[in-house]
Amino acid sequence: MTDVDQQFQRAIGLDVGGTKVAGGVVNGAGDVMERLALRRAPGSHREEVVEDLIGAISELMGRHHIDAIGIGAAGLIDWPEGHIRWAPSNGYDNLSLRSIIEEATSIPTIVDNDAHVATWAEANLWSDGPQRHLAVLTVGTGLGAGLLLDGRLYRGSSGIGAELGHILVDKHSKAICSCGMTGCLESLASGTALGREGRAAAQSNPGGLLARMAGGPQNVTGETVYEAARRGDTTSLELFAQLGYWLGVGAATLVTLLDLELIIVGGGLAVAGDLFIEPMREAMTRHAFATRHRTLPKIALARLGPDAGWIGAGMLSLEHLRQSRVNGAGVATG
Amino acid sequence: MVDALDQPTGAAGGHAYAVGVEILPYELVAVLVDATGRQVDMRRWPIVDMEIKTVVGQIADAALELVDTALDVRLPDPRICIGLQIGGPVETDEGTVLAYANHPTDSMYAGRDYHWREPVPLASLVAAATGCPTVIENDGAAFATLEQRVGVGRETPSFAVVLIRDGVGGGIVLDGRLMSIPFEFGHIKVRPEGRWCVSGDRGCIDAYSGRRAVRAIAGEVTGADSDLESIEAAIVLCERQNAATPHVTAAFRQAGEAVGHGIATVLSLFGLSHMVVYGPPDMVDPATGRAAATAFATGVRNFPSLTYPLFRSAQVLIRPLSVDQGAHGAALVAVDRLINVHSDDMEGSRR
Repeated sequence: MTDVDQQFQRAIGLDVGGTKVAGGVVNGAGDVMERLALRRAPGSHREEVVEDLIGAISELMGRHHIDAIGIGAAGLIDWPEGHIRWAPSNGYDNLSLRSIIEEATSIPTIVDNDAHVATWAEANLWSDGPQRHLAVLTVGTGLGAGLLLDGRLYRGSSGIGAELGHILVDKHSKAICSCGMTGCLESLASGTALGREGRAAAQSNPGGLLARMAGGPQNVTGETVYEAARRGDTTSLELFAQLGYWLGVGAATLVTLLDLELIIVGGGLAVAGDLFIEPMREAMTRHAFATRHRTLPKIALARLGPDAGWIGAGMLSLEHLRQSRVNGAGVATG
Repeated sequence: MVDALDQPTGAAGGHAYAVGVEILPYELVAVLVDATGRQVDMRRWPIVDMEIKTVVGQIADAALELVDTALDVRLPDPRICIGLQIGGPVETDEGTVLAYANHPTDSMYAGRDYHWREPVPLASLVAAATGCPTVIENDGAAFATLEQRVGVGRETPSFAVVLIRDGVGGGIVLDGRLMSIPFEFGHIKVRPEGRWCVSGDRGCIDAYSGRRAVRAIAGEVTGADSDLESIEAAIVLCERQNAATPHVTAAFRQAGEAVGHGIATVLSLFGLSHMVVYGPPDMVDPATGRAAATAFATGVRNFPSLTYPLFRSAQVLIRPLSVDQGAHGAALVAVDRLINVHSDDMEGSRR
């Protein structure tokens, strides 16, 4: 894409989450032309989801000349077909979203996993210029990851991409993960883990700040731990350090296998980055292979926050459009 | 990066050929393949010493002899290219071996230690000695290339290879591309505060699973002050039915479990459908009937319980190492990079 194309081509980007759709219009350089947020009820039926999306697209098309549409969605998505095979947070599956949107709008469309499109945005809009070899860790309720390897998004054969959250890091752990395993990274380094460990800590100290703030040990959540840590509660600060340690162990595996240049931490817990990034860095340095002989990747907080998904979806759709034109009818690789 | 071969003309069937050379401690294995990757001939030679000058000279002699005998061709010849592979970190773009060493406990070479401490521009040295364009890869990547062309790569575009020798290495192919990444499979942590490996790492697969580690662990569990004399001695101990047998057998099973844990990590991380484990037959392949190999394979096959449920059905194949596979892989690297050149081949460094 030339600089001129980047400036003048426009895409609608949409990010379909479990409870909301965020979106807007961007150009190829990632400049935001318009932003909109549309909330909807969790677990909507597929017809309602499609209706929501087409409504948002029509609204934006009424105000902008649109060259492409990009949609990021949680779940297992076939690339480049844009067929959502499984979306556990949304209550639908087997939704051929790309073809539905293309039929409704006659505009080239891509549909990709939400972690992938967020990774695309963070990589291409990074402060030091576009990056080619990085991971974006999304630390929220769970732990997701997007990989960009030599400039290409890694999607895997199933479209699910990198499941960093489900690598086993502590064989002896009793922490049960949402995937059914015990001791995988997500069970030790996520908002869910923080809440669980917070409740355990509050139970062993019912008079402590955590228990008091939550109105009882059983009510402690990840948010409680965050608030208590901000008040200087040593137990909560230790829990964040522990979370950082396990994230560092996971990052060390990425470094050992992939020799990344950059690891970006995003997701809901990124607001607490100052509480766990340093322990994460220490653990990565301790557990990665040959740290004296390599330049370790920088660990940094995501720049785009909740906008990364829809901006990345829009940018990726324009990149896909560009590559499709270069390759004729060929499949783009972005 | 070296240039691809000119369009081949003339004798030797008018076709291009690649010599693949695997550099092992005190041994070279070389194969000759045609442009389709079909193996035409194979030889092995001892290396007198591991001085760089000696190794380069013997590689050149091996290539000369192979093409002379098989093709009646004298080097340099525009139809011949060379692929090298070695069990150490390499910079493929520059054709450089960054380091190469054995370890004092690799006792099959006892008293014959070597250590290439500085980067060695091996590809250009061999090219100068033979007049042939030359590329280099590390051993894990060469085995991954072998699998890509003649193994599971024919069934799937994404897979990984684990290579068990004195230590543990590997290579990975994603979306049909050999990845230009170190893929240090042997240094995946399986017990964060576990046993030390010889690289100064702790709790990694290499600390439990290569020939070197298993021999050392077998020595520890049998109460020996030092390592057993060889991995073969440990393999035999598994079949003696004496007091040490269950402990040594457990060491082989533990070695397999560590590899299985690493496999689970790679499968979960990349969502692969296939992985291939290469290793010494008596140590890894139950088809040999050796108790050690059965214990090892049992450990490996524990991988599904450690894998993200969606990827537990992946196929993990255990293949016994044979003499020519490594050199064949090296030759196929040369075929890919110098004969059948693909525009999107990745270059870079591999450690």
